[in-house]
Amino acid sequence: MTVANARDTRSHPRESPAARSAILRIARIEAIRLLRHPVMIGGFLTLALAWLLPTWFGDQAAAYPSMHEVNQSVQLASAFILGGAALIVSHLAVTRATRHGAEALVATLALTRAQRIAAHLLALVPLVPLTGIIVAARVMTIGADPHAVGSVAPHEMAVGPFAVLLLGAVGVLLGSATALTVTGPVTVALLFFATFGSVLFAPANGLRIQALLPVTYDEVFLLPIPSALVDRRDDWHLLYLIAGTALIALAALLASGYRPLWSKVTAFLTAVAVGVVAWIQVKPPDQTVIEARATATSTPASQQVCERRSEITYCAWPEFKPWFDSWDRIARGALTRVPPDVAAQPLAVRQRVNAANPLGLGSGTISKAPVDSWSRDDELAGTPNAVIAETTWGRPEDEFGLASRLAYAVVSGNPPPANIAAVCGAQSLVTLWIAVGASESAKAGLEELRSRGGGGVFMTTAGFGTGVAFTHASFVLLRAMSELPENSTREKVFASWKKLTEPSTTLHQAAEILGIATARIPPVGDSRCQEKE
Amino acid sequence: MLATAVPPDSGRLALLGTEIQTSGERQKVRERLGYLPQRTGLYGNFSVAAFLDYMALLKKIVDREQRRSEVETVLNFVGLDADRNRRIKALSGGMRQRVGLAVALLGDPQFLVLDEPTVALDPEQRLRFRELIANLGERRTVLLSTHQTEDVAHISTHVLAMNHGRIIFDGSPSDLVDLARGRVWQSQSRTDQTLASWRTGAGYYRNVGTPPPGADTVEPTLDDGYILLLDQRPRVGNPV
Repeated sequence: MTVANARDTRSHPRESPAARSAILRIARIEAIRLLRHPVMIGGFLTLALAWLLPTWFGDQAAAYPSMHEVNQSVQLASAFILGGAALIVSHLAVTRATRHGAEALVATLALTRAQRIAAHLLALVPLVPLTGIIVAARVMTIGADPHAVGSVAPHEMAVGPFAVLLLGAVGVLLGSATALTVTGPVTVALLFFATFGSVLFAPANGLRIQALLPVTYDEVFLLPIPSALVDRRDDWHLLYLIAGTALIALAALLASGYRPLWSKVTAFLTAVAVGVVAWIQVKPPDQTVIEARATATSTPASQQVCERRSEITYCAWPEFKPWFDSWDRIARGALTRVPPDVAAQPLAVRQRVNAANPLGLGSGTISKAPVDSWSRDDELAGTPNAVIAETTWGRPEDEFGLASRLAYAVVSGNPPPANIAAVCGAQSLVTLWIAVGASESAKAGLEELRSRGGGGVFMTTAGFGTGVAFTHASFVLLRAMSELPENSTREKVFASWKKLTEPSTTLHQAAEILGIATARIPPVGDSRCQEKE
Repeated sequence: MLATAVPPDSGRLALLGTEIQTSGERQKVRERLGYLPQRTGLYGNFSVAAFLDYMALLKKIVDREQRRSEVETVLNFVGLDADRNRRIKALSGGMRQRVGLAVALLGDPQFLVLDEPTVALDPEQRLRFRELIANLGERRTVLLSTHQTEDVAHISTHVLAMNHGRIIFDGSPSDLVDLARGRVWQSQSRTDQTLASWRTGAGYYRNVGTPPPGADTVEPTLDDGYILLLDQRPRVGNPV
């Protein structure tokens, strides 16, 4: 006698109070079992580790967060880890009777299969407030940092919790199709690849097909873009998740044999709603957003606010204004290694970002810097040759990056280059020496970059191909220079500033001026600098 | 079908005075029905008490006190009260079978369907189970579906024998035994024209059928009656 798939659709008795009460009590038991399941506990621990480990290991970027970026990453992590766990566990729970060969027994008990399915769906509901609390706690903790920029609306924080609910409901629905234990993990793996694959295969500035997936994200840029330029659709995605969950729940009930007319009509209307919201979500960004991003990329001055602090003017998108203090600390630190008369010259630091080039099909990941537009924009704004500040801040390499670009501007007198500019000869040594003098963190940032880059160091900046490159030989001399007494080195640099900052001055000459044995200078190792050396 | 797991595909079926054609009717009857399937699948990770509590909810026993009392009662009845907190996967086969019976007993059902309840039990467990079932039969109708004729002989007051989905006998166990009275005999060699003939441990043959003149007839058993029932020839006794 086979009873596992016994269904009867001929009549649907109204839920009795006893049945409703039983459903709620079973939902409570299943919710507790779900939360205590090793996979779910593993999910919570993984999430906690993913968030706490960087803090424990001193990730200073966490101290300068962009809140809309933070929200995205928090939603992604919570939805994937907890949602994936919920999918696996809810599938195991709903197929428990089948997997244990108990379907023959359970099918003859008073509660129908549809009522049991309803209990399993209700058991997922506590995950919403629980995930919501976790997400809100995480976002608010990060947002409490005085250097945090941007903001997150409550409904944007609800996306993750409802994605978890939807994925749990998917697990219940899958249970109607198959009781195979691997179903949950395989589905989670497929979702993982689909979600991250869509970063690469969604057309840049085109249809946002990734929004059709439960766990989604705004367009991805190399570096965070200002929140005003983000085409945020979390409100629509939240609606999509809620309607999608309702549709999946109805599908699970229909599959269990519960097919009164109202459920079919509601399922149809919900499917229509899901389709409409899906279309709204996948539409390409509005033209106004694309134009604003182009402006931000090429001529950002009109979107930014500036603040003059003695001889240095700092400009940034409004939400990044709290970072001026940190930038100023680095700039002041670097300028202590510049002769006072040079340091007194007006200087500008302007935030830039490549906002016109989201990752995806048809998009170059790194594009040439629009230096001509920048130059005109800076002239009009009264901040010529502005040094680039980025939309990320907090890591040692961020501090070294700003300090080295500022040092490059002071030493060479040049605006930011369109491509990677090789800094050669004595200029290379002095630029590095000024940059690492900005702060201990900047010094550590150089070491980090070197450990990743081998002999030399070059950096792209703000998501563009612009940047500066240093030779291995200049690092060796910098180390020798750091072994000399700071004050006497400073005096020598200040006294020979003109000679040391001339493009024609070689490393050998710089070494002689500074009193470093020239035998310690290795081959330059950069063809762009060979001729000059 | 009698356990309401599958709807009847043809004909009419009534249980406990209720026609059970629709799912609503089956739902109603299930609240008064206990069922122990042949292969009792249990949730290994649950403790015995938690599993019974869960099953009680599936039987719509929603009041917490009533549920607790029901679980206590059935645990006591099947003798598992000391094992209430043990994980089901840690129980022996006989104990699991008793858990299955406890589930069937939740809600004090008026009608119990026990499908091969003593299969795979050792003799001691079987004896214990028979006693449990016999006790149950004192207060309610117990439908025991089994091929173990010894169980029938020890427990049942009424026997229905089915062959190819049709009832071919309706009577008491002694009526079934009486079917074979005078039709079972011993011989030194296998005899032709018997329904069944097998060599016993004592070295002679036991035969069921129409004995030859002067045959050494012996006391029949339920097995003998059952063998005769399956014969297509006209029967004695009260076959249906």
